Amino acid sequence: MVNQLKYQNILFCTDYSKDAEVAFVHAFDQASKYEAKLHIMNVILSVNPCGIKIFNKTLSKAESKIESDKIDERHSMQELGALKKVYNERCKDIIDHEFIVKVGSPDIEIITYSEDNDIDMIILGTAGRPETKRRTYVRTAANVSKYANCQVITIGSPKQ
Amino acid sequence: MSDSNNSELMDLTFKSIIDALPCYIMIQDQDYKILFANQKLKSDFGDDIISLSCYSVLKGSHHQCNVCPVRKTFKDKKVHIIEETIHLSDGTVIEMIAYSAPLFDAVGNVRACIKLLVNVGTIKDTHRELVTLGQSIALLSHDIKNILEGLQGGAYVVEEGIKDADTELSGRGWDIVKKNITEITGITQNILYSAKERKPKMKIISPVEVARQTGQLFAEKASSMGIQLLLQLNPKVPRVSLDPTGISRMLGNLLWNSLQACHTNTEKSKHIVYVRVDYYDYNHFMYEVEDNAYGMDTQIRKNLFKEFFSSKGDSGTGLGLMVVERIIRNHQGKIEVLTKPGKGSLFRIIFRLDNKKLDLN
Repeated sequence: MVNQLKYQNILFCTDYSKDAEVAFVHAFDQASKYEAKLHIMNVILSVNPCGIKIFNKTLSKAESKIESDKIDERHSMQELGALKKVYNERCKDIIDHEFIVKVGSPDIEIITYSEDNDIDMIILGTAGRPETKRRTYVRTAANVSKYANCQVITIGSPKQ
Repeated sequence: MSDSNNSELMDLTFKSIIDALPCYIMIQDQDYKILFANQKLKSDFGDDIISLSCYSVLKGSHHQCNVCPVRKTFKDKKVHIIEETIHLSDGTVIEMIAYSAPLFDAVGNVRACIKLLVNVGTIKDTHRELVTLGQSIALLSHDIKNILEGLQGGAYVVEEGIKDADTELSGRGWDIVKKNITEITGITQNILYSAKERKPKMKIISPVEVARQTGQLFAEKASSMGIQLLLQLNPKVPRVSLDPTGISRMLGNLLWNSLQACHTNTEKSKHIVYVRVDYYDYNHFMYEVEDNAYGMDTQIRKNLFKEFFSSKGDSGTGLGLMVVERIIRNHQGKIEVLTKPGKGSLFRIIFRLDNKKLDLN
């Protein structure tokens, strides 16, 4: 006999692609069905993934050593606003939801977040953005499916 | 000569001495504002640093440091010493020892703090190299002895095969010899990298070509181990400035680790090792080496890049990943690891496409 599944924390990851939109519908359904908390997440790439110090000529010498962390932090705040704008209204029926923006490699950030927050299920789009609008070539869906320690559902949008 | 002339001369002499000292000296007030800076500090950070905060000048930060010797000195009126990392305006990061001492007013209150910073990066590097060298010799003597015994064993089997005209036996012996030659070659090359700091010899090369050549070097070995080696290389990744020897060694070490992990993993009947080269984003590219062996648990994952840590027991020296980490550091790259017990491991190394200084303008 199969035990009754119980999901308390569902993580939905978006890059605003078509696949992610379809994945959101499933994530929303699952969170409603199990009365789970829906974590809505977007991962943005760091301006400086290798951590090299950034030098900015327009600022005075003393102020010139702007750390890339601060730029990432600013981008992250902007992205959080964008994420809320897209999903806040659509999530009003789910009592418990949270918006998260992380900076880094998407697969690493998704898996780390899922482990740190007791995520039971990750739902994300399979293909991501089309080639020309792609921000990273990391195989996010494949890597999350393989290396996450919880259930992972990857969803592709139906062919037109 | 009058007393006032004497005093002026003394002041000038002191100032010259302070300016000539090969360290940073500054006097700070309670708000961490710089009231005085010696010439060495000014020449590295600019003449306009007076009245700026210490953390904005030395760290490029808008916030106070979590640990600050000056704050402690203002609080307890004592001398404090800490290690600090300082960011020069050209992006260089240096390790320094910072001393802070109180300057008292007439009634014994701390009026200001004098802070002195000494560069200890070179001393620390030398210390690290000596420690590494000592550990290398101790550990590798043992490993080389094992390999030599393996070679002797293989040679004996070959001789027995020749004596009995048994080509199959000779073949088996020759395989043992070859395996040990591979081991000793790998160890020797890693010693060359780990025993001393080696400056990368940068050339404009195709990262894809380096991966292809390294993959070809291991193709036969993978095949003899019954492992499928797949190269997934994006030919559009442009030529960049890299040290081809270093990158080849880095990929070789990761690849060899993956092949060995697959070889010793009996839980799966089919093993695949991937080597990938692709864009990471518009400004970076990545190498990936992935296997479907047994993966790593949290403990192993945490210790991966520690010197001489090996999860392979007697068959590993722990030098391989240490060398990988050093090569990546030399190229100002970054390594990321994904792993799951029972599933496999993925090592991703990210490098900039343009190795010039990153400038947001």
